[in-house]
Parts: sequence; C-alpha cells; structure tokens
Amino acid sequence: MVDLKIENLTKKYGETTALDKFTIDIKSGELLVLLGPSGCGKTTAIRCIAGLITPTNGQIYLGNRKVNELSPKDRDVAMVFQNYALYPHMSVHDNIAFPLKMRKEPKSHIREKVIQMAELLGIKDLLDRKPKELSGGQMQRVALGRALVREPKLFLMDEPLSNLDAKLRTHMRTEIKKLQKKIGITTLYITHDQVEAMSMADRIAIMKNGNIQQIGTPIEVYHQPMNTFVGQFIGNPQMNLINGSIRDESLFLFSQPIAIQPVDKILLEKKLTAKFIVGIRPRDIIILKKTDILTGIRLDGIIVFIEMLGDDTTVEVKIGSDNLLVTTNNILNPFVGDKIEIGIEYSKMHFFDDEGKRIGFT
Amino acid sequence: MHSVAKYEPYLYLLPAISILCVFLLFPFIWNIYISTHGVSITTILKEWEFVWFDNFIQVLNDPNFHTSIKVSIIFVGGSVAFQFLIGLVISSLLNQNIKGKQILIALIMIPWITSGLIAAFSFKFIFDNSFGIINYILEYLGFSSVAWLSDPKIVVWSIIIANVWYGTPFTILFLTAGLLSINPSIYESAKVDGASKIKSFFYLTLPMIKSFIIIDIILITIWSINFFEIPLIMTGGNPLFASTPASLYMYRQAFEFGLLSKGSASGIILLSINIVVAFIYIIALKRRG
Repeated sequence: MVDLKIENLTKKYGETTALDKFTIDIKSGELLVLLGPSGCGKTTAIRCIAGLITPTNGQIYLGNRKVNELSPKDRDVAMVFQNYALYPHMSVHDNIAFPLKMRKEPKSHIREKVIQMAELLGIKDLLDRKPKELSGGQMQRVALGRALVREPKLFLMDEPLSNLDAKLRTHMRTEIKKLQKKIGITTLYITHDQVEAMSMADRIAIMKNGNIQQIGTPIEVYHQPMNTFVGQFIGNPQMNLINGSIRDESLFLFSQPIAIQPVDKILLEKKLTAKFIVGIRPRDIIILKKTDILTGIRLDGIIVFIEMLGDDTTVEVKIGSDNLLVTTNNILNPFVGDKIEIGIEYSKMHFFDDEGKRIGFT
Repeated sequence: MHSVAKYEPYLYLLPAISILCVFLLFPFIWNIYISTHGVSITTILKEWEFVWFDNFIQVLNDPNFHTSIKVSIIFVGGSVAFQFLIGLVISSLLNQNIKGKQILIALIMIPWITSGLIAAFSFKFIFDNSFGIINYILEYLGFSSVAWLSDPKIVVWSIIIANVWYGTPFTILFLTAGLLSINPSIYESAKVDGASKIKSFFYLTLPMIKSFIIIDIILITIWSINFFEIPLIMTGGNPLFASTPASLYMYRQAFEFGLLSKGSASGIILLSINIVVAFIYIIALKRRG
C-alpha cells in the first residue's frame, strides 16, 4: 500500500484547459472521492493518473516513485470503467484472470487467485458465464475482481455505479466501501453523485472547471463549504442562496430587499461587506409556530409548491419575490397557499462574499 | 375475414416473388432442361435430343475442366487469402486516431466502386507484355520483362493481383465495421491490465471480430468462385485454359465454343459448389447467433 501524491497536474486540449494545477495527496489506504459535475475535469485527472493520457504538466508520485513516464501496465494501478469494459468473448474466469495472464503468472497460481477473488466477491458460481449472461450488479463485481486480482498499489474507479439502478447502486456503494476497507487499498473514486461521495468517502475533493474547490471529510464539506458552489453541490435539496446587503446598520435580504430589524450584533461582528450572500440549507429552516422563540431571523411567506418524499417533505416558500426551499418532517400537513412563518437561526447560516467565497468567522 | 387477414402478408410478397420467378427460377429450370439435352449453337434450331447426364459426364471428363478447377482453387485461395490479410492489416491501421481518416477511407473504396470491367481493362494495360507499365518499370530497372498475361504459370497470379486490388476494399470496409463495434474502453482496460498492443490484437481484437471475419471470408469466397469478368477481359482465359477458372469455363463452353448444354451442365456443377459454401455460411451465421 502506498500513498498517491499529485502536484500541479495540468492538461490542456488546444486552448481549453481540462485540468488546472490539480494538486492532491491521497494517504495510503484512503478512499478519496473526486466529486464534480460532468466536464469538470475529474475523468481527465483519473486518466492521467492511469497513464491513458499524457498530462501537459505536473508530477504524479505513487509512493516514492514518479510514474509520469511509465506506461499504464508499469504503474501498477487498476481501474474500473463506467461501462465495466469486460471482455465480451471471455468467461468471467478468463476476464478476472486476464491481468495475471498478461503478467505471465503460472497457471495454477492464476486459477487459485481467481477463485479466491471470486469467493471474496460472491461470484464463484458465475465463473463459466460470459459477460452478456450477467446482470448489471454481477458485471460490476467481475470488473472489481479483474481490477483487484493482481493486488495493485492504486485503485481507480470512474463512475462505476452510474450504470446500475438506484437500489443496486445503494447496495453496491456499501459493498465497495467495505471491500476497500477490507483490502486496505488506496483508492481514487470519481462520481458526480454527491450522495455517493458523502456515503463512501474518507475525504472528498470537489471539482469545478478543472480546479479543486475544496478537499475535506464529508462532514467538513457539508458543514463548512468553502464557497457557494460547494455549498450548493453538496446536500439535497440544494442550499438556498440569499442575496444580502447592509445599509445604515440595517440588514437587507433578498433581491427585493426585506429589512431585518434590528440588526443583530452577532451579524455585524461577522465582518460582512456591503454586499454578501447567505447560504441556508433547506433542512436548517424551521417552520415556526407563533410562540416559538428563535435566535435568528423570522420571515413571513406563502407556500407555493409541495413535494412529498416519504420521510420528509420539501416545501417551496415565497418570500417577497424570492423562493426558498424548506425541508420539513411530514408531521406537518402543509397546503399550497398557506401563510407560514419560517425561522433561520444565525448559527445555521453560511456567509459568503459577493464572489461566493466563504467568510470565515471564529 | 379471418382467412384474408391470414394470407394478406403473402399477397404483398407476390410482386417480388413473381420477379424472382421470372429472373431466377425460370432460367434455373431452363438451364436444367438444356443441360440434359444435346444443344449447341449449330443444332439450336433442330430438335433437342434428350441425353440424360451425358453433358455432365463430358464436363467431368474434360481435362480442360480439371485445369479450370485447379485454376479456380488457386484463384479463389489466393484472392481470399490476400484480400483478407491485406484488408485486416489496412482496417486495423485505419482504426486509429489519425488525421484525414475519412479521406483515406474514401480513397481506399475507389476500387470497390469501380466497375469490374474497368478494373479488368486497367490491369490488362498495366500487365501488357509489350507496352504495360509494369514491364516498362522492370526494364527501366534493368530486369527482363515478364510475360504476365501469356506465361501459363504466371497468368493466374496476374488475375489474382487484379482481383485482390478490386475486392480488398470490401474486406476493409467490413472489418472496419467490426472494429468500430468494439467499445474503445476495452482497449484502455487492457492497457491498464498490462496488455501490449500486439497482445490486445490477438487476445481481444481478433476474437471480438470473429463473426465479421467468418462472414467476410465466406462472402469473398463465393464472389471469387463466381467472378469471371477479370479473367475474361484480361486474358479471355488464355493461354489455353491456364487462366480459366470454373466460372469462366462455363462461359467459354457456352458462348465461345457454342456448346450450350455443356456450359449449362458446368453451370449446374458450379451451382452445387456454391450451395455447399452457402450452407457453410448459413451454419456459421446461425452458430454466431
């Protein structure tokens, strides 16, 4: 087991920069998830690391060894592809055995290792089948087996779950995480699904336009997003962003400013600039009863849309000319057109400057 | 109402089937009729005598037919082997990220869209013993000229070269289609798994386009068996029968020597060979699903 160190990795395609000074450290045995929308450069990054494309600039170290110049087969990395890329004409056994065969390992040894891997993944009964006779989840396991059978130093996964149905995806992400911890292999996992990232990662790196926006544990990126992009990308439904401004010691929120009076000392202490953005997660907004006491802001609104999700309910509340999403448990029985009062606690508010960068407070 | 609905699909097929009957079934039966009678260009207006299998026996005992079968085997074997191998190499080379790929494919397809007649005439001039460009080059380089079209040992290879030039584009196109059906991430996966380019060609590419290869080989075999424009125009099957494959033998018997029933009989023998190959084709297709 080794750690992966990437310094200033840059990839340009003509004028477009797909990856811009990508720098990251993955500790030995860690599962790091690269999370970002499509086109953010995460696949470019993983393909540079695998050696499938040559970066324009930057260094990749696997352990103490610089691997930039090495061909994929000499890097000792394994990769699982989005579409699994199983060899369609080979049986499951031959698929898993392929990397060992290419390394000219003795036949008896190959057989033994393949069976061992198949047992670990619960696909021992499928060894004689062809890929087209397998279900999505089974193909996924074969792809994992083929990648892990030769005990690589680094494990790369490129959106491995996106071809599975929702239920199987939830199941497989737990399995992959357990397997990764059991083998203890350093892993870089790519996804655009924030739930997948949150549930699997030891640490998450969130990417946008070829740049890393933030690296941190799932808890850190959820509770302390470094900018509005991270704030909105992590969490579902996404974080509400409210424009705010300060004039004459009064605080105004929303695009048609609603004065919040009197300005709380707590807020002014936060070094807010004249214009700023407040982020608030739908789950952190409280639907108030008249008698509730709150250290925060109280707002009146009208319910304009309701989405029942079973465990909880998402309500869209119109405040002035802006809409806020509010997630509430379904004990309440809201109706469209209801007038409600909502409350936002100061402690739950995230503050960003007008460029979207987090304003740090202590 | 019920019965009309039941037969309705066949009704739609009727025009096509009628055309097939006129242009395929009738000539076929007519051919059998001629092959069992004694008809030549000189006796065509007299009464046709029923001769049982005499014509077939004549063909099978004709030393020229034996020669033509030998020529056929070399012609078909050589054409298929070279068309396939050259086609495989070129289609594999084309299946990479290279600039101007579309233009290259278009250029390579030129022989295929040329008429067989034009190809044959072109090669007749290229290989011409006295003013052909090949002999001109050979002499320019100080070699002695070769009797491409009149040396009985060489002539069959001249027509093979022409047929390979003419037929290879089909293999290139067909195998390119096969190669395009392979998911590119399979090669990336193989790269990471440690396979070199040559290994992934033999372990992955070839087995994955196996069905394309089988169909391609069977098709070009059938076409080569029946193809006779190139030898007909380049050499007329000469000298003697040295460049006469079985397909041209049939044509020469009927239209050069006027032995219509002998030509028909050899046509039916050729048809049975075709049926055998076609059966192999169908079985291969079924096995591949």
